[in-house]
This record gives sequence, C-alpha cells and structure tokens, in this order.
Amino acid sequence: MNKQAWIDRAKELGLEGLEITQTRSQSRSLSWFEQKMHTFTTSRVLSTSLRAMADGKIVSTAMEKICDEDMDTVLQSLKDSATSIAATEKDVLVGPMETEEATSTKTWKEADASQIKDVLASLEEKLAKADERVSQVKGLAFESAKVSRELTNSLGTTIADAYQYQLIEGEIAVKVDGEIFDDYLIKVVPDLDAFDQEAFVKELTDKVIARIGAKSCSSRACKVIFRYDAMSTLFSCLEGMFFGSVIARGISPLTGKLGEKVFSDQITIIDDPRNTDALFLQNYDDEGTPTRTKTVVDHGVFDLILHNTKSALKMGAESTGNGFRSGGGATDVSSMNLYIEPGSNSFDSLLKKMDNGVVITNLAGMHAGIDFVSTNFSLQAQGYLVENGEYVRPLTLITVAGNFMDLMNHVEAVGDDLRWETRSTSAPSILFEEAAIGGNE
Amino acid sequence: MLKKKQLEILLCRAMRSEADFAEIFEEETHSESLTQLDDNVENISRSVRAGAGIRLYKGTSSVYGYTDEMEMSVLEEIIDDLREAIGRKDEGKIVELEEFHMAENISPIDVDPFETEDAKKIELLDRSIKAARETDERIFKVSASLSSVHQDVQIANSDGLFVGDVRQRSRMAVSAYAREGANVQSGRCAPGSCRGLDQFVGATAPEESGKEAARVALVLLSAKPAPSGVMPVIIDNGFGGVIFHEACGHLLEATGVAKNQSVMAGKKGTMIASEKVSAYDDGTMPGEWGTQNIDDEGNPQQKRLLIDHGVLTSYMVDRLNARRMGEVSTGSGRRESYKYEPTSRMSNTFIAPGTDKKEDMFKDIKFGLYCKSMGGGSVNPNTGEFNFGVNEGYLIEDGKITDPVIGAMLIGSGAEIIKKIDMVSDNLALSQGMCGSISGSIPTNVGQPAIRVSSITVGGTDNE
Repeated sequence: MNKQAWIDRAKELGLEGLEITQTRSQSRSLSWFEQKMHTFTTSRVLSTSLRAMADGKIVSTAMEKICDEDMDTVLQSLKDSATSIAATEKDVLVGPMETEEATSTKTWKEADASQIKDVLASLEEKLAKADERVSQVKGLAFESAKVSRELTNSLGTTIADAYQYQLIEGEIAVKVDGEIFDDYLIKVVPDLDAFDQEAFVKELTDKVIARIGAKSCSSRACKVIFRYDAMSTLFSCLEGMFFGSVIARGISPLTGKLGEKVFSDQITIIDDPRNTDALFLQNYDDEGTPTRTKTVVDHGVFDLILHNTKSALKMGAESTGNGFRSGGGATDVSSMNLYIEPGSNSFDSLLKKMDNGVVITNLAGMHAGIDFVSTNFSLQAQGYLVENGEYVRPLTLITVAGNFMDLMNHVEAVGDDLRWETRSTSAPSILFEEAAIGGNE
Repeated sequence: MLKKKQLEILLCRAMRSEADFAEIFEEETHSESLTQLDDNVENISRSVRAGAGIRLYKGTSSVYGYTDEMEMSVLEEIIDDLREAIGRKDEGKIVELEEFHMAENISPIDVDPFETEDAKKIELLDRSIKAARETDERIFKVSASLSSVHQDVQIANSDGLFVGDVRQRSRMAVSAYAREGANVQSGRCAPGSCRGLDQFVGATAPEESGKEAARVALVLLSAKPAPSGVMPVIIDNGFGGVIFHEACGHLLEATGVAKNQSVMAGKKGTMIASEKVSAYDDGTMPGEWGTQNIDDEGNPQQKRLLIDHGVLTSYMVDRLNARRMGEVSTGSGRRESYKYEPTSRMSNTFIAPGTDKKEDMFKDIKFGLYCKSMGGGSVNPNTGEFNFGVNEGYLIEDGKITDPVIGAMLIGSGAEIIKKIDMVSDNLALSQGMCGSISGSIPTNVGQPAIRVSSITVGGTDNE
C-alpha cells in the first residue's frame, strides 16, 4: 500500500485529512491433551484502518483486503458516508506530538516448538499426579503473539510501535463422589526457561481442590469481600461510566458529576497506559495522542473524564489519550490499564475485619446480569462462606446482587493485593458493608 | 477467491505430511453498521474481512493456520509451518477437486442492504427512534443501529469437496432510556434474520421495535427489587429459550462431549429431560437468524432432533469431533470467521411446542416469578452450572401476575433444570442472539413456547 499516494489522493478528492493505521499480527499457539499435541495454530494478519476527515467529521473503515487500485472507490465511499453523519459529530486528526516514551520492563525470549511440547507434556504429567482427585487435565496451551502498529496521517504524525506476549494456560477438573469441580490458570511467561512448573501446578491444583464440596447457601444480606479476581471482573464491566463518549450520551451514572464525591473516600482510581507491571504498555493511543498516567477518582471524588478526540470536542475538554480501537476501523474511548489503587490491608486482615460473611471469587453472566445505566447487578458467583474471620466452606451456584454505585459508597476496607497478570483493568480485594447473596438452601 | 488450480496445489502440498485430511476455508465478508442517537447519525462504519484458514488433521489432532495475505507464497509458508507441526513427508495424496458449485441458497434476500443508499437505512433508524420517543415523555434518549453482513465463502478439502456459499443477514437494535427522578432504566429490542431490509415490516417494523424497547424501559421504572430464593418460574416464549441454549444446548455440543467434558457425555438414548421436552437444532429454516445453507466445513445443514420426549437422541457434531466420538458430522461445524477453527455449534435451537396452555401454568403457583423476557446467560459445560439474567420479570402471587421486578438472575445445574420443566405451552417463538464459544461469536436463534420450571434458584436483591 502506497500510503503517501492515498493521503495525496484523499486531498485531491476534497477530504480534509486521512489517517492510515496498519496492524500486523503474528500468533502461534499449541495445545496439549492426553499426552499429545491437540491443536497447533499459526497466523499472519495485516489489517488496515482508514479514518478520513470530511466536513469536520471523521468516518472510518477497516479492511483486510486493500490494494491501491481501490483507492478512489474507498475514499469516495468514506466521503459520501461523512455527509450522512450529523453535524454534531465533529472530530479531528491529531498532529505530531512530542512525548517521552516509556519502555516495557519485560524481555521476551521466544520458545521453540519442541521446548513448548516438553513443558506442556511435563505439566500434564505433574498435574495428573498432583492429587489423586484430579480426574482430567482438561487442557494446556502455550500462546504467543507479536503485534506491530504503524500510524501515518496527513498532518505528518507517524508512529510505529510493537508489543508481544507469551502465555501458558492450564485447566483441570477434580471429581469427588461423582461431582466435578474445575478451574483454570493463566500465567504470562516471558521466558519459558525460567517458568516455574512446580509453582504453576501447585497454584492450579490448590485453586481447584479448594472448590471441592462447594454447595449453595441460604439467601442472605451480609458483608461481602469481592476477591481481587472477582472485583477486577465487576469493575471492568462498569468502567465505561468514566468514558467521555458514554457521559456525553447521558447514559453514564456519572453524567454531570465531575468534581463531585461519587464513591467512598477509600477509593482512588488511576488510568495508567504506561504501567510497566501490566501486560500491555501504550505510549500513544490509536489516534496518535500520547498517553499519560492520570487519576480518575481521587479519594472518592470524580476528578477526570477519559476522552478521545471526539468526546473531548463534544465536552469542551482535551483528549486524555484514551482513543483506542476494539476491532473495526473506528476508535472510541477506552481505558488502558485502569485500576483501583490498592490499600494497606492484607487479604487475611480483610477476612478478620469481615468476621462473618461471604467471599466472592468468581463471577459469571456479566453480559446479562449487569444493567450498565442503573449499575444494578445480579450475577452467578462462586466463593467461600466465612465465619469468625475464616473460610468455613466453598460456595457455588449462588448469586450476588447489588448496585455498584451504592456498593462503592459502602466500602469497609481495601486490600493490598492488586494483580495485573493478563488484565488491562484491575482491582484489589475490597470488603463491602453489604450485598445480597441468593442461594437454594 | 483462490482458483481451483491454486487450491489443488495448496492441498497437495498440505497432504505431503502425516495429515490424513486438509481443508481450506476462504471468505470475503463485508460488514456495515449505522448508529443513530436521538436525531443524530453518530457513526457509519464499514469493514472488509478477507482471508483463509487452512486446517490439517492427523487422526484426532488438528493444526490450523490463517492469514489475510492471499499470495501463494504466504499460503505455502503457512502450510509448511503446519506440515512441520504435524509431521512433514515428501509424498502424499494427490488432491483433485470436484467442479465448483454454489450451495443452494435457501434464504435469498429481496432488498440488499449493501445496494441500498444510506438515506433509506437512516430512515428506518429514524422511524424506530421517533416511535420510542412518542411512547411516553419519560423516554429521554433512544439509540438505534442497523447492522448488515454479507459473507462469501469457498471451502475446498482433500476429499475433493469444492463448494461456495453466500450468507447475508441484517439486524436492527433499538435501545430506549427512561427516567423518573434519579431512576434511569433501559429497554432493548433487536430483531434480525437472514433476510434483507424488507424484513423490517409487521411485527419487526422499526416502529414496533422502538415501542417495545420503550415499553420495557418504562416497566422497569416501576419495578421493585427481585426476590432471592428457590421458587417456581414461568419463562415466556422467544428469547426465554436462552434457558435451553445455556442449560442444555451447550452441553450437547460435541466440543465438550467428545472430550468427556460435558455432563451430557455418554447419555445418548437415556432420559435427560422431562418427558414434556422435545427439542431441535434446525439450521435449515429459510431466512432464520441461525440458518446456513451449508456449515463452515461444507456439509449440508440439517434439522437435528436433540431430545425426543425427554430422551437424548442426538448431539451436535462437527467433523473433527465426529472422529473423536466415532460418529458422523451433523453439519454443525461453525466459526465466526477464517480466524477460527470450526467446532460444533448451535443454529436455530428451540424447545418444540407442547400441549399445555399458558394461562393454566399460573393457577397453582402461590409465589413465583414470571419471566416475560430474558437477557443472555452462560454455562460451564463441565459442571453444567449455568446462569441467565431476567430482563423483564414479574412476581406471581396466588396464581396471578403482580408487580414487575428488576435484577433477577436464574442459576442452576443444566442437567437438573431440564428435568424440572413440568409444563410446555404451544406458543413457540424464536428470538435472535449472538453465541460465543471457542470458534468465536456466531448468530444463533434461541426459542421456545412458554415453559414452567417447578423450582429454580432466583438471585435478586430483596432478601425480605
């Protein structure tokens, strides 16, 4: 693709600007089941996104099949679409901007297929033998990907960067008295030579064994700890409330509340695309704006709306460098490494503080059980029943329900256990005054 | 699209390995989406996805590669990677493809959205938004979108199969937001099918979708917190069928069954549900949202009787899992795109109409929940534990429908719940959803007539 020719032609056709982003991704994954390679997947994909400006508005398209001969048809179609879009939808392309780039602290050592097979085979053997109750090693997989991005626009902005990752995933089931309990574990593996197989086996087996005998409980309203994993899941489903695009539409619970106290003063929320502990580090968003670390909620006060160029224009603000793509050609507001700042309480001290209540460790049904506008939620959950500050028994087939805004205003204590692993939105364990637990006992 | 000769060269190269089967799935898919909020068209986006997925089997192992770089040299490099992974050989089967043919299109469309000017499509959005807003002054915001997909596929394999297919579908989604004081609620209506823009008439006209979305949002404004506990539940038709989809459908997919990772593995021929329950997965219904002419492995779609009066009669099986299970494919191999290896998936899955009358279902319920419409759900096939959200629910008190309730989630164990369906009415309706699994997100219909479940755990916020 001759990018300069596209940019020049766009100008001749009367477009006010053109941005071309090409993303090249290569991935490999190898899965293992019953002592042999189960699947092997390899890929090479080059996708091109165009954002064209006409009439003060931006129209986008994403194409996996692009050739210079199609230039006029594609550009004309973008220009035509712009005329149908409302005049209120103004947007701008981003000119070159200086920023001091952060660099990832992770160094990746690529593993070859035979080494991957050896590790997975050995993990399978160790997991099967780890405990006599393990009934099946459901699957093991090693996955790696490399992604590079090149952004060029008619204002002279050029950005080229890349990232990569390698992961190991494992899933096992245990069977006790005819009942099956299962769970999985994913670990980021920068260097397979340094991967601690024993630690992986222990963590996964412990996780599943702790579930043995899980049953429901009676319905109750009680103190609840959302453990870091469940808390991260719930928080990530509702993070859109901080996005300028959602606030401008008037459907965020935080619309009109900038500068107001919206959560408990124990809650501070930060968006940090340059966080080196997280899996992905981004120095620029997908619109070419440099990213930065920023406090979104400061001790309960809603301090900053996350913006891309379009939502910023709508609300009379500056882009915060939060314009990202989630597939397709268009960019929209998105967080990047958003987290609730950890407190000083260890998980054990949270249990002691709670005394009696329920710990939630897993949530399911997020796409059906959360009403984004009211922030009411009712979700399938797993966890533990806690009495006198200690786990009494594992729980499954329970529901946990409440209102997120309400919950975040009734925080008793925030844990110190923030973990990133593969997440791009994270939270530590949090003890809340009350949530509704539903069960069938 | 690749030519016959090119495909033969690639398949022959693939077979110069330990592989006993090779397949090339190629697609070019055009998608477009128009979104409007109140009076403003916010976005028009179009995209093209085009590439190929190459798959090799050796017994029950499979290797898969995909790319959108369609030069022969790149495809050959991918194939060589796969041959390396599965075991390279210098000789192999010579593949000769049959003459190319297009699968018979059972869902031809009249008004093609891709040949319709934007203004006409925006008019549909306008009509739905206007109808929703005119319902009630408490409706303060309405958004609508119209999404269309046109997928051309071509499938060739080492058995000589060489077939093409075209898949087209459109869906319109309307969301209405209602406000009363600080209480804000939303309602949604999103009909779609494998038909053209001419489908949006009658019950699925833009006005009807707008009014329905507004109606739900308004009902929820006056809803009180849902109760928690175990109670009888009546789930109405249409999207209510998500209960069968989650609690049973996923458990009957070969993906889990073949690896003994489903609670329904090994249960064929046995009573797994109440005798009131017969259920189908039917990919052959012309124009329906989950319909295909052929599956994504090139096999003809089928109508599968899954459960016959409570007895498990068939799983949903794709080609690779058929090998694992010693069965034949039921034409259930589906995938979101060339970026996914296909596996067994649902199409239009529904509980067949029964003989009970809906009005009789309420009579002997002292306290229960009536679910008029459902949200989505999910399931762990290994344990059968599932959940699904109630979108529009009402209490049943002394045999009568009373107050609307909000925030109810139904949970349970799939194997147990389908045994507890004690009444099945005769008002079958289908409803559209997107189903996610290891081969991506695909359009599927759920459906059922109104059913009664004698007891199920309801999770709500009201513990009184």
